[in-house]
Amino acid sequence: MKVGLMALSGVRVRNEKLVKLGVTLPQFVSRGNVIAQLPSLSLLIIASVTPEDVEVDYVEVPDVSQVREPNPSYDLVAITSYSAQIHEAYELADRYREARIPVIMGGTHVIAESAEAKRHADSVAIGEAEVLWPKIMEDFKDNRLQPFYKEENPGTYDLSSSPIPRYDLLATKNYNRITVQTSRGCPHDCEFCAGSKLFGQGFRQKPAGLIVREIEKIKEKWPKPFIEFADDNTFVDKKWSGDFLEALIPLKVKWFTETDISVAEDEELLKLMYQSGCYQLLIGLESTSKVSLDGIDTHNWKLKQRDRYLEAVHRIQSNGITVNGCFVVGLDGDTPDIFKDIRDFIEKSKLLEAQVTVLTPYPGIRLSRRLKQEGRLFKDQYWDRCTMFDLNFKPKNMTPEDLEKGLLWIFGEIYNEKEYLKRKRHYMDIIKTLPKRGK
Amino acid sequence: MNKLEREIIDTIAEESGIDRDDIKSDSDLYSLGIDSLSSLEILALLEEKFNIIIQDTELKNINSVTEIVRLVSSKIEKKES
Repeated sequence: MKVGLMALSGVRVRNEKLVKLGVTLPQFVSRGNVIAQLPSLSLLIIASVTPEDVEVDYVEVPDVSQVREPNPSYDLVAITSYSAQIHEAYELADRYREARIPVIMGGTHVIAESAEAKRHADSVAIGEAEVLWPKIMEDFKDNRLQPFYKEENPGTYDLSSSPIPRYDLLATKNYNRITVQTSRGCPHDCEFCAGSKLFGQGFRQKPAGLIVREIEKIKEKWPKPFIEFADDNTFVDKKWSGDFLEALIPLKVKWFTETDISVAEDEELLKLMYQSGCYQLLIGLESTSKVSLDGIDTHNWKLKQRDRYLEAVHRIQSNGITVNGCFVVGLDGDTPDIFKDIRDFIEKSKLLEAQVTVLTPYPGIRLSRRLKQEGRLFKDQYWDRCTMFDLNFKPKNMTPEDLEKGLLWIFGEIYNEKEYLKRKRHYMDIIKTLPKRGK
Repeated sequence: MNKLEREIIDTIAEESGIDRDDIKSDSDLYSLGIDSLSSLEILALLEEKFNIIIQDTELKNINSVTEIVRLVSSKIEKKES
């Protein structure tokens, strides 16, 4: 038996003006390329819980129009996709079903829109692969596939039981960064977060020893890997963080992760991060405006951090760890002044990298429910525009035109080569003041 | 390969952990697995080693070992003249 595991890959942007401008901006292109080249960890996890007697194929689909015909050697196909590519995923699924090859669909979009997905799939998986996939395979072998497979207690799967993802399925030369997951979830509960709550409410972490074993497995294929930790918020538990970083040092890897700004409070942790090979932290600063930050997360945690942003970025970067600061525009408190405010903050803080995206009402999240209630969504169904660069709703304190104009302006300001090179030079000056990593 | 090239390649190998024999004069940094941030650390190390200063505008288009060698040698020549 052979199963084709497929992920729609790559980054999508529908706004033509932005596409045209974006390709001329080196930093924008650079991060886009990195994201596009990351392997699909969910497929590698599915492969790891597939029975040993079943052959699996790992397939990334950057452009569904380039898929000429279904692969007839597959007995079953599993497809995952984010919202922006979901119509392409459905097209792929329809083609396989026309060829009488059963299709299972899963992933964050499908969890939120399971009835919609079912129209294109034989079965829909609503939950985590480790919990659902073994049962799906068992039922498929017994010819009794169910229409829906739903995780009974989402967010309770013990990550210490996680199998090591099947990194061996990846072609070595195709990947410069390899994804590893250390945790699932995030305690902050931001209204716009699409990732951290769909697999359950809790925050769960893998034991450091298990992560070390995963990285050792990766090193069998990539001796000097760059690891991208595919987490929502890695350093929530400071005790775990210390143990984990100590365990990372001997592995001599370079790494990147997403976390929150609280790491800046712990100088020892920052030193351990640097020593263990951390090159960059992606941090959701979300906004420079206190009015805009007010209410974005349940406990207003991010608003409370705002006064410390500048000092925190400085402290992290002074420790040799670059910060990729993420900002969301289109928040209810945003006026057209927000673009200049964010640009000024980036310049003043000397953030090595910055990511400015448009508030996106992904299906199934609190934000989309509220905007729908308030009658502010442009359309009921807008999945292909869930790109983080396209606007899908009426902003509260500016016009859609203001937002688009501001977005194009700030992209030109922060992603232009001159500014980016200045920030790179700043990073080199910091590095020269620090001991070598691993010491 | 001249002495300067050898020293630069040694530095790249030391900093990146890549086997020295895998780094050729014309190697592309990205193909070697050296990303943008790692290349900045290598350049910072070379600045210290050769007592040179690389301007921000000169960081543009540094994508290969050849380009690093060219940049560093032009800086050394300028310093010596």
